[in-house]
Amino acid sequence: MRLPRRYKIIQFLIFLGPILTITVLLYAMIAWCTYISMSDWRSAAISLRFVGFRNYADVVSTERFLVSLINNIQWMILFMIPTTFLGLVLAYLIIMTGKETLFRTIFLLSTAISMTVAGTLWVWMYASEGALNTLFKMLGLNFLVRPWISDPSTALYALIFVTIWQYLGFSIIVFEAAIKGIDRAIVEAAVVDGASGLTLFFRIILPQVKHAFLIVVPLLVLAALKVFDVVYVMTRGGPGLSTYVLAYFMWVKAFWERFMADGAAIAIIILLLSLVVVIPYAWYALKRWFG
Amino acid sequence: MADVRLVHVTKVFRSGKRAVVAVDDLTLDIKDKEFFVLLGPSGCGKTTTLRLIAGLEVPTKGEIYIGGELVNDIPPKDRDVAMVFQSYALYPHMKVFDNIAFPLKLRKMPKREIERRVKEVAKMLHIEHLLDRKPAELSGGERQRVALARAIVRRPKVFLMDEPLSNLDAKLRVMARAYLKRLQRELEVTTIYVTHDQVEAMTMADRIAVMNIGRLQQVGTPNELYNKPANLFVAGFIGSPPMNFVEGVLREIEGKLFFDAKYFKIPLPSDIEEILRGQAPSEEVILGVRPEDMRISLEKVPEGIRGRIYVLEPLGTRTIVNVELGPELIVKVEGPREVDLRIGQEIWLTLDYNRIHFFDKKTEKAIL
Repeated sequence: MRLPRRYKIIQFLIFLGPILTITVLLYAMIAWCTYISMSDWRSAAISLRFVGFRNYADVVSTERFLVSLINNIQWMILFMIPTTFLGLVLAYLIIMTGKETLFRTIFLLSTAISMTVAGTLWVWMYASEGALNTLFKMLGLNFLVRPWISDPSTALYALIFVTIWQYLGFSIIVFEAAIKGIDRAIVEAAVVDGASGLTLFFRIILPQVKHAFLIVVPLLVLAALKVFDVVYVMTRGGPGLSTYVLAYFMWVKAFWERFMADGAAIAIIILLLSLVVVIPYAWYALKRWFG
Repeated sequence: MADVRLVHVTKVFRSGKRAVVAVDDLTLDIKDKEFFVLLGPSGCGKTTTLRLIAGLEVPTKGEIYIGGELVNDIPPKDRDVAMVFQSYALYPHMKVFDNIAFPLKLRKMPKREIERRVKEVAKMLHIEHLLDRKPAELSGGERQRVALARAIVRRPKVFLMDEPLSNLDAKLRVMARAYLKRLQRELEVTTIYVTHDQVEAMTMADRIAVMNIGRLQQVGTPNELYNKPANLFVAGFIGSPPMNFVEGVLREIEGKLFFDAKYFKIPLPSDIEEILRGQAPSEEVILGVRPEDMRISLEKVPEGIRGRIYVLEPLGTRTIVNVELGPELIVKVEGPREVDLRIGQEIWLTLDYNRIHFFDKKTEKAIL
């Protein structure tokens, strides 16, 4: 919406309250966390002696950190790409069917469920005698039958699939809104001009939903970077280290092993990694807001 | 080049239990190279008719022929029609060149030929200098010409235009009207043009089809519609200011036929009397007179209708005089240029009996 400059300033003032609250609560806490990460708080007793970057060096040199980082990167790619493109394609197909309300409800249901519930649900699904294996046996696909989340070679991918299943609804809604925002006449003009099926999708629809990628992709990447609950509920990082991720590693360090300073250091590393995504995104958003 | 034929075409839109008849049993015969206008108020079914011809809607009943070929089951892209949309529907992510070239690219035309054709059309429409711009950087008039170029470049059998000038400002619209008409003459492509603006229809069309609530009211040349409206709707829709209507009854007094409105009574000339005696199905009729078919005199004239000037509407070249013939009965009359009139003045109106119309009050059909 194009507004005169005066209104933009008023808009900004209205948001100033929440902005200040967030700044104090969030950024003060980040500062606090940063300080802890440079302290020697490594037991149940609080100790805040400054030790510099020693904790970072310790944490980064562990095998668990390296495995977690690689798993997070895998998660990011294998989760973000299919969720984005399936979301786009499904949104397009749903609109084509004309039964949007029905399909939107179906796909949103998984997004609406809490990650903890979804995790529990999928533990049953993936169990040796669970729904998935039973289904494969029924279909005669015995070679696919395996202990999905207790097998180190499949556990990570099984978990990634759960997050795709959870976030697909979100991706669909964003793309659905973007596609519906396209002027109908433009699509009809293309149809009369001779476009159909794939041509219509790739040459008319896709270029006009670019802005939706700017919403979906950064949010999905951040979700993959922060992923914790599904790991905690389903595998606790196992078997072995096969589903270890940074957020889980952080939790283990800080609240299980009670190396609070190490946990804080991992938290700050996750934050820094997030900033790689957030800063360009925020830059773009602010540029659009202030024109 | 092609003629377009619609045979008993009906389109019903259903949403849930509600059914809306957008086009009701429409039969039209549009000739090759004709500039044919579908005219009517919003919701009359004219745009639906155009979309049916384009293939964007499927008829519920009836047949559509383009160039003699039944196209009911042929998808839009294979009908060889080009459409210009009210919103222009330019592809926002493509440059003007690519917008115009798009239909040709889809037809897998060689690159050289595409470039030649796009440049040729751009030159014709004076938009060569805009080829590198995006639609967002163009003015309304320029966008309109790009939309037109995209339609022309294909050299289709039929142009379909859905109110292509309605988003332009008044001055530009008058200019665009002329160049569009001229362009159509030069290209000699059958054109079906939808508008709600009767002036646009009158000035541009070879023939006009007037539609209302999904039904065809009348088809004819602009002159036919103006001078011989088939019913009350057409009579009232075409002409600005519109035709005056006065309700009354036909009454015979001492062997002579009179038109008796509440506030005045006029004897009818014998030729009209003859026609009305033969045709009028009921006594109740509506008299229709266009503003220019009445004369104002300042002195009493025999058979003149007495009235009082209610208000004057000067338009520069002429003045529309609103004359009060009775309470709540005001007619608009094209006033004399040289005479000064003032509000409240008493005047007498005489009708040009060769140009008056009578409509049956019940059927609203023209009797005369």
